[in-house]
Amino acid sequence: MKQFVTLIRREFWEHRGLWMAPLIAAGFLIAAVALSGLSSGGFRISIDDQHFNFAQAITQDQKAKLFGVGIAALGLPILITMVVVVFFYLADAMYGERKDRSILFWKSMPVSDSATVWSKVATALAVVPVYAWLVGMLTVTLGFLIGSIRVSGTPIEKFVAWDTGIWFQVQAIALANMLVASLWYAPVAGYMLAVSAWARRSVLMWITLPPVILVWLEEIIFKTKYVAAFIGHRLTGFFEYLGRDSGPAPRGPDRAHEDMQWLSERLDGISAIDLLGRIELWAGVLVAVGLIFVAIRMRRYRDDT
Amino acid sequence: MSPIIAARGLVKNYGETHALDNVSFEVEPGRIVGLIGPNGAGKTTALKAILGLTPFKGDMQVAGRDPRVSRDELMHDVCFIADVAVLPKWLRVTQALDYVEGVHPKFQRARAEEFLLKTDIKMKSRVRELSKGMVTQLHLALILAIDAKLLVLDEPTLGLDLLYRRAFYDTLLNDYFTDERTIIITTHQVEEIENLLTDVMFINHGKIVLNSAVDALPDRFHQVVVGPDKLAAARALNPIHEREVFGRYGMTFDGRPAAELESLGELHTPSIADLFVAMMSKPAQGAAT
Repeated sequence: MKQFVTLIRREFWEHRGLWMAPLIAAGFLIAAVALSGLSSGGFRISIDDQHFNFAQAITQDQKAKLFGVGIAALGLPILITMVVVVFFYLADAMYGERKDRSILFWKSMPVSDSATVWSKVATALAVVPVYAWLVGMLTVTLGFLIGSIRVSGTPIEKFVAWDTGIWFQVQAIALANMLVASLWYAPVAGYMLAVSAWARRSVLMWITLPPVILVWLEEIIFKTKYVAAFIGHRLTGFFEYLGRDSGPAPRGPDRAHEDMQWLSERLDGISAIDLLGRIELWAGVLVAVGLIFVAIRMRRYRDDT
Repeated sequence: MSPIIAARGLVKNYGETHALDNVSFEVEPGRIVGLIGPNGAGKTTALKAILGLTPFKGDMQVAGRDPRVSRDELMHDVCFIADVAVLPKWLRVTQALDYVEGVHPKFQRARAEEFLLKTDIKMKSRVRELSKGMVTQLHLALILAIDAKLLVLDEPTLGLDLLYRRAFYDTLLNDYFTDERTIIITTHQVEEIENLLTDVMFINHGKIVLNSAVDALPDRFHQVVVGPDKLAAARALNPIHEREVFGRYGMTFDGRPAAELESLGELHTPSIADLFVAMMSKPAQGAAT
């Protein structure tokens, strides 16, 4: 255990972006909430009369749900930042130590290749997501507090109310979603680690080239697009699932009311926990484990130093 | 005592090149072995095989384990410094200590810190901020604090200035080496380590061409400088190497009794560096003509 914790610490030392980038994103978010032209008119323009009138009639329940949607949306930039950082981390995780030959130092320690690779998997799919979730939690809370102070006395105030129950609900869902997403994207991570352990250079090219060539070959030879659909579904499936019954925002005559209604209903669909019941998710996990073993063997036998 | 390394019939090919060509050897505990050979002779491959870093054919036991099966367990008892460049540039000195402390049960942090205090290395520095010599000192500090049985050094002082090289080997002898410990060193700077070796192993084209205790060399190898008058007589005794200097000939003999050679001139024991040159440029020039 002590060893595994040390291995994960190494990943954060080596890839400082893993912990710095979510903090930087959080800083920008807070700064945006604190410094934007919120009360000086910029925001007020978007509150037209219809919305303003509707605000008088908004129910308590809708208000609570709007709060939930609001803090979930506020956390999104941190999530996106994390995805980008983890992507580049996975590409470099097995390659960087070969490139600078430090692998010879790491391998001079009594640490198995298996423990090393699994520490990288855990970093990408568990530690960083949970860390980003914590950063997001603090950021949206602080952001909301600052924002609500700034809009007090303006019409927007009517839409905003703290709701502890919803807060917990959103945080719990966000954490669960993070972990479901990790399982969903595990085969992508496993593939990237395997390529990163194998490639002699240009890891990102080797990561993108095989799927692109497969898609292209299929189109040329069979004139079909199954591979593209399959890869596309794996890459976007999680978010497709999140937005499964949203549809476009309504554009009816009573737009203001419907907008609010539509927006507040988003909260009911933000949990992806049901994905755990799908066989394709677990099939992906199985593939991921296979690819991780490939990465382990590669690290063990690849001798290019 | 059972050998710390027992290798039998090691074979490793890179394409057409025989990096290890049926190599067998044993290393006893408490020895300092110099593994010496020209570039591409198979030195590094041999070390990598010992360390479990590369697959090979044949039998090998290091500290009682097969390095191919359990490299991670083997590293409890074996340390190595590949060369000066392998500590990652981003690593801080404190992180290096934290890491080894976190993964190595036989690491005594206090000992490493004590050694580092004697150097100019600052605890907060990153490896990229240290000079080459300091990086080696840092690596040495980590190794000295690990209670291992075997230390493998592959060109550990490459690119260091003389002061650092001297200090490196002095520290190794004074603060590290004991009767129970074994050190294997490869280096190009043979002259610098020849006084500390107890054993030499010459490797060339993937084969071991000499494997001997340093103590046994004077009985086996002799060097004589002969004048032109005795050249024919000397050549008749089959020198393994001859070198012409100012009209006289330096001849190196393998396995000839001293009594047989004394008539040719004054006998010397060749240095390891001389011996290396003699054996690596075999067959002796001119001996066949």
